[in-house]
Amino acid sequence: MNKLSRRQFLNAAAGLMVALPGGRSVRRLAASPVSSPLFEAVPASASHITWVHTNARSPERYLPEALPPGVAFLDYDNDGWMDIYLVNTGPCDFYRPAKPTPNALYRNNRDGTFTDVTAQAGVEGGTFGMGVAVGDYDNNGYPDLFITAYGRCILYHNNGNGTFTDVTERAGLATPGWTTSAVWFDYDNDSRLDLFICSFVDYGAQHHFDCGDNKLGLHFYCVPRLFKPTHSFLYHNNGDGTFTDVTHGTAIEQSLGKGLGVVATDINNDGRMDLFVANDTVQNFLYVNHGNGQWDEIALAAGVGYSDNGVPRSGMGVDAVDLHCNGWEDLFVANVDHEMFSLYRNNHDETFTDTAHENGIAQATRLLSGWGLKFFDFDNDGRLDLFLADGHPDDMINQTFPTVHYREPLLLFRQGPDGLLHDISREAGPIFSKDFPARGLAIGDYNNDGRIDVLIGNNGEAPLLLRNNAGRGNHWVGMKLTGTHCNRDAIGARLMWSVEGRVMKILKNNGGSYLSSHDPRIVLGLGTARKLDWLEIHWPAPSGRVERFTEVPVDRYFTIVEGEGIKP
Amino acid sequence: MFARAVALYNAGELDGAVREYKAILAQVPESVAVRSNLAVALAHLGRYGEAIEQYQRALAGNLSGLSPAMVQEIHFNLAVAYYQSGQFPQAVSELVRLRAAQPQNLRLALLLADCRLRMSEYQKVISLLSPFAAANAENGALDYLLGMSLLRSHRVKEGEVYINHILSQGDSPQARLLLGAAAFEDLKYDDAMKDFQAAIKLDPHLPSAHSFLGLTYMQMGYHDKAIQAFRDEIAENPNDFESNLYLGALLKDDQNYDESLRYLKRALEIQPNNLAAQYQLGTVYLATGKLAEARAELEGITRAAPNFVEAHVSLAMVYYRLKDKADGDRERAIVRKLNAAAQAQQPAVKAAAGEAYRGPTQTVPQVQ
Repeated sequence: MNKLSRRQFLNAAAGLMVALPGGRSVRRLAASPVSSPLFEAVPASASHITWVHTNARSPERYLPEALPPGVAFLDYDNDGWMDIYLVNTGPCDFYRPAKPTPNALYRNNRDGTFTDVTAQAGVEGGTFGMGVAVGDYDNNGYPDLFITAYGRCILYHNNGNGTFTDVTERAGLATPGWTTSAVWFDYDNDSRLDLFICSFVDYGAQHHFDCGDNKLGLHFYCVPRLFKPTHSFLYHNNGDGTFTDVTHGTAIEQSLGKGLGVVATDINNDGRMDLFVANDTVQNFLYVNHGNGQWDEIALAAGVGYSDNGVPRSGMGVDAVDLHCNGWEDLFVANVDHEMFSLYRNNHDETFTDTAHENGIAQATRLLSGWGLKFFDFDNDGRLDLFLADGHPDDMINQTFPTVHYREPLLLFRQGPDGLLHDISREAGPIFSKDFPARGLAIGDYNNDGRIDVLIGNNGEAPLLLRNNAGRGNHWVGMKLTGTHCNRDAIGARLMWSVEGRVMKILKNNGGSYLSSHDPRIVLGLGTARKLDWLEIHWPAPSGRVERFTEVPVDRYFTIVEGEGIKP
Repeated sequence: MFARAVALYNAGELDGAVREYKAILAQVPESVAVRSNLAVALAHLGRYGEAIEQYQRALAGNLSGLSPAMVQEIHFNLAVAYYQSGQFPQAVSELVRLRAAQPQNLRLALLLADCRLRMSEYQKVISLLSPFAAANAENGALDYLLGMSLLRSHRVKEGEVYINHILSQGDSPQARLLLGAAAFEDLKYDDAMKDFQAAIKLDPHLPSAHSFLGLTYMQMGYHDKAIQAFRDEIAENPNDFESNLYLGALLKDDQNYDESLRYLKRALEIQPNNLAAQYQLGTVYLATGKLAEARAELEGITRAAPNFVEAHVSLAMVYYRLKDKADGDRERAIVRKLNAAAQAQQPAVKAAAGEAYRGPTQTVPQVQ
């Protein structure tokens, strides 16, 4: 009897094979000419940002290699121009770099170029860095840096003179394990920024084991499902430069997760900031703040914990946004391929409905894995849009799943007059036809032209700085809020404004995206209108002050100081 | 009249034969032979529901005048009618009874095995057909049923023996189907896709070929192609359980709930006790706000399968939506307990070999 093997048979009968469907199924973009790209990459030769991320990729494929880096826009020297901070890996229990792999602080030269000031600022890092959270925790007017890491995390206090001091241990923020995203916010409304830190899995070199097809001698990155979950951390700011771990006994301690993304927001408009945490292979967590240090985790009841099939997804990037400026914060989570991303509409009763399908997001993200993301009005037309940075965590995924790729395209969704998001990546410029191993994403207006730019951290590669060319002809109002009785960063402030009789409102939440921090200023797009009818600032507790402005400068940045009005 | 009816049947004039048989039965309603012949004619017309009714009435009549072999033949025909109408559990019931009297009857065994294959009872197919394998090495149907069941049981190496039997006869759609199934089990979706496409090219009507192609497309992320493949299978083979289930699930993902319900209900007609299909139905009810129906469905599932964690998740959500916080909290506690138990089984905890960043997609949660 003929004992042909399967493959022998195939070779013999090759002529019968039918043609494969052409190309990959991830949306490929035609190289159609774009007259004016909405976003345009700024090359290192123009920006002078020469830093490149080191991902420490090893043959063993240790999982921490696959997750960073985070990035940040911040104005560390308070000159009104956004500087850039980039997080790098470093020595740890499985990695000993042959040469230093520092983080990087780039000072904005106000002419489109940047200067590396890392060494003189003293913010090199030196740990296996993951992400960065920026906040003025001591209300001295200068933003401080908290660096999360696999291993030792770092709190850099901004000295106000261009230098920083590592005060981690003194501040009581030496957090164990593997920390990822973090967010500054004032949970107890005492005017001081507290800190929430996501903890990922229980991992150590001694816990590493082989994953993947060992018959081929290949090691893949292990799925986080395999590792024990951990609890995240909440630190209360004591107001004297120190923090107290207040996690113990709360729902935060009781909820064991694998946190990757966090956003601080107020989902029920009770004036207390809540937390939404994206977990990988574990349900997401929605912590509702009841005051007095009491938290409830309500994600399952709220409909944001699991997929429609009752399955926890691989949540990574996250954001909160009042998408239609109606006074209620919606939520967003980016997941891994085949899971689709989620856009949860706030039902005003502490429940949410996933509207990813009606907005075309589910369809566009079916084969993508999302990390950094942010809602903002990229074209200043008065409607909030969405920018997504994608990439699969496993560099060899394509060997198993031919339709899934390690490098993935960026996505841009514009909100239309119908209130729905529309995928406009095809028309947004050549950069959207390229693929990246993207991770962290921060937004910020680095050239102060009122159009919010984008910075993306790429795993093992140079960062991507995207200049925003959109919305020419549209007007805008740009402001920095400075609290005096509330927290200085005014996180939790509510803004209401009217343009040509249309009233809108937003909440100044904090965090969101993945491992990253954003330009703290607020830009309101006016479309073709040349002025705001009025602007109200509802300063957060403990202030509670409401200030109304009718003469608001347009097409430039200014500062509003609580109780002191508009400053140029 | 009887002779005329038989002549019409033999001439292929089935409608005429049915009319004649019914006319006879109007005069002699107790005639088992006539009723059985009427059922045969109805079955040939595809009127399985009527045929089954007539077979059942015949078997409920006075059988004393018939030989045991004739009675067995009516039971067999009833089983075939059940099979052809997609009522596999009922067909199995008849065939098991028949096989008790004829354990060496290969025809019965093959039909029973096909029913069980369609009910995803792969282990039972293997147990049923393995004793016949040695003496029927050239039987293509046996090779296919046994090979496919082994492959679907993830026993790829053993299944390859039967693939090779079929391959030895040269290229055929069945061979391609088995090759594709083996590649699918190996997670080699690109190879599987090519094999299934080749099988369909050789025989567009091959049962299960479109269904397998749909499953492969689903794993590869070709959502729309998967939907079309399942539709193609159902057009050829309305009783394909997996096509109805997965098409229902994919349409649910697309929020096309009305159409999703139609296919899920059909899947449950084919496999009434399938918990994965019941769960999909429950989640459609939940998504469409039919909370009472969702609650009933999901409570039934959690009673039948207390460790079906996804069903507990969805049931908790139903209770919360119904403002029944106590029951919601109870289900949530069960979810936490089950998740903690599952986590404790993970290799990183037990220090065994691990799993790559992701495995095959689980579009439809199954009972573990």
